Amino acid sequence: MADSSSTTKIVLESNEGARIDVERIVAERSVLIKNLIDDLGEEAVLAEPIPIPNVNTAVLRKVIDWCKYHKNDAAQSADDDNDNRKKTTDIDEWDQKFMQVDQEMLFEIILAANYLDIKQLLDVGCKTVANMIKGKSPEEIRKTFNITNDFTPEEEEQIRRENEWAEDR
Amino acid sequence: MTSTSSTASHLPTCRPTTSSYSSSSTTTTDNEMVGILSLPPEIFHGILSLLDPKDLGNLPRVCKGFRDFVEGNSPLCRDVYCRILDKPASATGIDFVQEVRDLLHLEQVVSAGWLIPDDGDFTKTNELAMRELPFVHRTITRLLSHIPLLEQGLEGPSRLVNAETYHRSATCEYLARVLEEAPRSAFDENWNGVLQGFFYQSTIFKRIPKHPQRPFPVISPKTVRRSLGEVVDEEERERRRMSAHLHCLLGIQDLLRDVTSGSSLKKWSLPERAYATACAKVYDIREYKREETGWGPFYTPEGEEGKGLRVDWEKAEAIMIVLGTNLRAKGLAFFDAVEHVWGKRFGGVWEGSYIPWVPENALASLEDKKVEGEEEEEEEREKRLELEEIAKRDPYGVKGTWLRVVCFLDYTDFFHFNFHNHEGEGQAAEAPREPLNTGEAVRLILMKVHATKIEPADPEAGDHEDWPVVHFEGQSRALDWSWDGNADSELRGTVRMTREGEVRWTTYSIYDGEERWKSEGFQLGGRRSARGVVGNWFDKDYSEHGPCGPTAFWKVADREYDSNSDETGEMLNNLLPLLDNDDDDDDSDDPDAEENEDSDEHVSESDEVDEEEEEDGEDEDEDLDHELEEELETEAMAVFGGGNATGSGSPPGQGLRGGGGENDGGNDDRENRDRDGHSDVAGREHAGIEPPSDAESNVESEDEGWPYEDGYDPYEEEEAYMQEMAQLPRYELNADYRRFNDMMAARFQIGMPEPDDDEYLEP
Repeated sequence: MADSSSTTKIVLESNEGARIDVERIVAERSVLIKNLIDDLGEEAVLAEPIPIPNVNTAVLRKVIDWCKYHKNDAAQSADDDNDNRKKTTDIDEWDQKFMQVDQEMLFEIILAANYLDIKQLLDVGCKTVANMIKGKSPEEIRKTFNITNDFTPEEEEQIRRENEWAEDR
Repeated sequence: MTSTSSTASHLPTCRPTTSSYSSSSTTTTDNEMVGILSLPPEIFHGILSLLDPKDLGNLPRVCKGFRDFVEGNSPLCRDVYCRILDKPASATGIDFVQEVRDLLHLEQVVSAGWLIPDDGDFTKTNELAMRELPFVHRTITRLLSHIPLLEQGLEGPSRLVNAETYHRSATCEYLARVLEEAPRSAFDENWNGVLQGFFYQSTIFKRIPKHPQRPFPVISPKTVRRSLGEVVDEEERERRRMSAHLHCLLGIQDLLRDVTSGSSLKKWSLPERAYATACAKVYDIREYKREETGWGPFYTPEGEEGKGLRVDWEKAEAIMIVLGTNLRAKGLAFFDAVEHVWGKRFGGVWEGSYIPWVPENALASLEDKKVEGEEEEEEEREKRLELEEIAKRDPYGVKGTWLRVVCFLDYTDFFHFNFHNHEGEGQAAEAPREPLNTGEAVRLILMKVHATKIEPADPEAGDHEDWPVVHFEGQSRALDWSWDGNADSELRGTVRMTREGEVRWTTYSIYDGEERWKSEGFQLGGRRSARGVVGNWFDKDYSEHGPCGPTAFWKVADREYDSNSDETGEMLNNLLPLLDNDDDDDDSDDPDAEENEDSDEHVSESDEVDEEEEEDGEDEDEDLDHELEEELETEAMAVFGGGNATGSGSPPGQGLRGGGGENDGGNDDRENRDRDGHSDVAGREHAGIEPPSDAESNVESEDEGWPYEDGYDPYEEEEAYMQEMAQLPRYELNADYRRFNDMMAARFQIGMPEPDDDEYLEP
C-alpha cells in the first residue's frame, strides 16, 4: 500500500496561494503533513490542497527541493539522533550547497522546517548558523549577523572583565 | 503540534522590531527581516548548543540580547557539556554553567600562547603553571569523576576490540584532544608547554637539571641540604603531588613517545633522565620501610597518623615511568593488551571503566565441562556456588584474568645502590638517591584470581567504613621463556577502600605453601577501573635489606570460577584472543596479519590444536615449517626471555646505561654477593631477586652472569630448553605456548634487536 500511495501527488499551498504538486513520499518528510494525512485520510487530502499558511512560495519550493533530494533517507531513530548530537557540526556536501542562500532565506528555511516538523532539515539549518558563529570574535559575529552593539563602553568593559578567559589571546 | 508558536517569548532586547512569526515570514514586510535574534528561543537554543565553550564565552559580548540569553543559561550549558563530554549519570550536584566556564578556562590555559617562551624566558610560564596547576588538577579529576558508571555485568556494553578493556569516553577524548591541540614551540615541536607546565612538575622532574647538557648533580651534602630545603614547603609539595597525579592519569606515553622497542633512551634526553630519577625512587628501600608508607605507594599526612594511608602520587608516577619505560623498550607495550592500558591518554582511568568480557573459548570449554562433568562432587558444587555468590557481592570486580608486569634489579645492583658507600655523604637524611640507570629485568605475568571471602571494613585500620574488604586467591604464571609446568606461584590477597577513597590491593605470592613476596598498590582511577593497579613488591617479612621493585596489574578478561582450571593453557586461552584481535583494529601496518589469522583458527578450535598444527604446513615442507617455528620461538625467547636471562644486559639496560660513568663496565668486577649467599651474579635469575609471582625453579647454572664469561653462550641454555620442550608431549599447553611465542615473535620483529646483534650475542 505504501508503495502505490507513495507516488500519489498531493498539493501544497503556500501562504501566497501558490500550489505545488509533490509526491506523497516527499511531502511526508514533514511530520506535520504526514500526521495530517494519517489523521484525515488520503482521500480528504487528495481532494483539496493542503494550506501551509506560515510559509511563502519561495521558501516552500526550497523546502520541497530538500525533501525531494532526501525523500529516501532512512527515518532517524532516537539513537541516531543522539549520535548526531554528539558529532560536530559537519554537514554533508549537498546540504551545504543547499544552504548557500542569503541569511533571510536561511532563517526562513529553519522556521519552515520547524513549523513543518522536518527534523533533519532543521538540524542542517541550525548547524549552518552555528558554523557561522563558531570561532568568531564578538565583533565578527556582529558583522556576520548585522547586529548593533548596544553596550555602553562601561558595560562592555565590565563584560570583558567578567569573561576575561573568553578573550582571544 | 508544532512548537512554532508565533507568540513564543522572544529574545529580550536588541532584536529588530518584533514581529510575530507569520508576518515576518511573508514577503510583504520590507524592514522586518528575519534576523538571528528573532528566531524562537528553542531554535536559538538548538543553534547555540552546537557551539563550543569558547564561543559561549564570546557571545555575551556581542549584544545584550545574546548576553541575556547565554549568561547563566543552565540548560544550554548542560547541552553543550553533554554534546562534548560524556553525559553524567546524574545531573544532581553538577553546576553546568560553571562546568562550561571551566572547560573554557581549561582550553584557554592549555592553549595559552604564553606557555611557550619562544624568547627563552620561562619566568612567566612558570608563574602561570604554578598558579593554574590546582585548577587544572581539580578540573581534570572532576571531569573524569563525572563519567558515568557502566552497567556492570556481561549484559552491559561490549568491547569494541577484545584488548580494549574500557569503553570509549568522550570526556577522555576531549581531554586528549585539548592537550594534542596545545600549541608547540616554534623551536621544538616536541616541546609541549602544557605537559611541562602541569604534568611534569613533580619532584622527579624538578630533580632534572634544566640545562639538557648538564649531567645530574652529584649528591653532596650541599646539594642534599639544598634539595631538602626545596621540598619542605608544604604548598610546593602539594603542587608536586597534584602534578604527579595528573601525570598518572594522563599516562606516561607522552613522556616516552620516542622510546620504541629495542631503542636506547637518548642520552640526557628527558625520558632518560626521568627514568633514571624514577628508578632512584622506586628502588630506594627507604621509600618503603618508613612506617607512614605502609610499604606501598602511600604516605600519611602529618598529624593524620592512624587515619589511613593516602596515595603517594609521586611514587606512583615513578613506578609508572619505570614500568612504562621497560614495557616500551622491550616492545611489550605494543601489544594491544598492554598498549590500550599503557599507551593511551587517560586510558581507562576512571571508576567502572572496565568492560567485562569472557573469551569465547573460555565459555566453550566451560560448556564442555558442564556436559562432561555430570558427576560434579556435591562438595565441589557447593564451593562453586558459594564462590559465585561471593563474586556477585564483590564490589571491586576481582574475579578474572589479570596481566601483570614486574620489574626487578639484579640484587647486586640493588644492594650496591642502597647500601654502598652512602655514609659520609650526608645521605643519612631523606635526600633522594642519585639517579639509577643500571637496567632491570622485566616479567610479564598472567594472574587468575577469584574472591573467596568478603568481610566488613576495619575503620580502625584506615579502611573506608562503607566498603568491604574482599579476600581473593588464585595463581600466577610467568609469560616468558622460563615457562614450564612448575613455574607457578599461588596468590592470595585483599582489596579494600582506603578512607581517602582509593582502592588498595595487597597481594602475597606463595611458593610451596610459603609466603614469599608481598605487594601493595592502589587501583588507578578507582573501583573496577580498566587501568588497573599500580604499586610495588617487597619481602613479606619487610626485610630492610630488600629487595623491592615496581609492579602493576590490570584486568584483561573475566571467566567463571572453575576449580579444575588452574592449567596454564587455559589461562593463556584468556590472553590469546586479546592478541589475535590486534589486527581487527589496525591492520594497515601489519605485516603479520596472516600469522594472526592463522592463529585465529587455532584458538577457535583449540581442542584440536595438535592436528591443526600438523595440517598447517599444507603446501610447505613440514620440516621447514617446524624450523621456522622454532626459529620464531628462539627469537621470542631471546628477546622476551632475554629480559630475565640477561638481566641488566638487555635493552633498557644497554639503552639506559648511558652516562653513568661509575656503572659503566662495572658488571664484571662488581661484588657479586646477594643476600642468599650466592657468590656470583649468576643467578641474577634466581638468587634473591625474583619478583613476587616469579617462580623460577629450573635455573641450575650457578656460574654465569651477564655479561657472559668463559665462552658461555646464552643460546646453549635456550637450546637445551628447546630440546626439553620438544620432548614434551604435544598436548594443548605446548601448542598454546608455541602459538603464543609465535605471535610474540611476529610482533617483536618490529624494531626489536636481532638476536644476532653483536653486542647482544657476544659480549
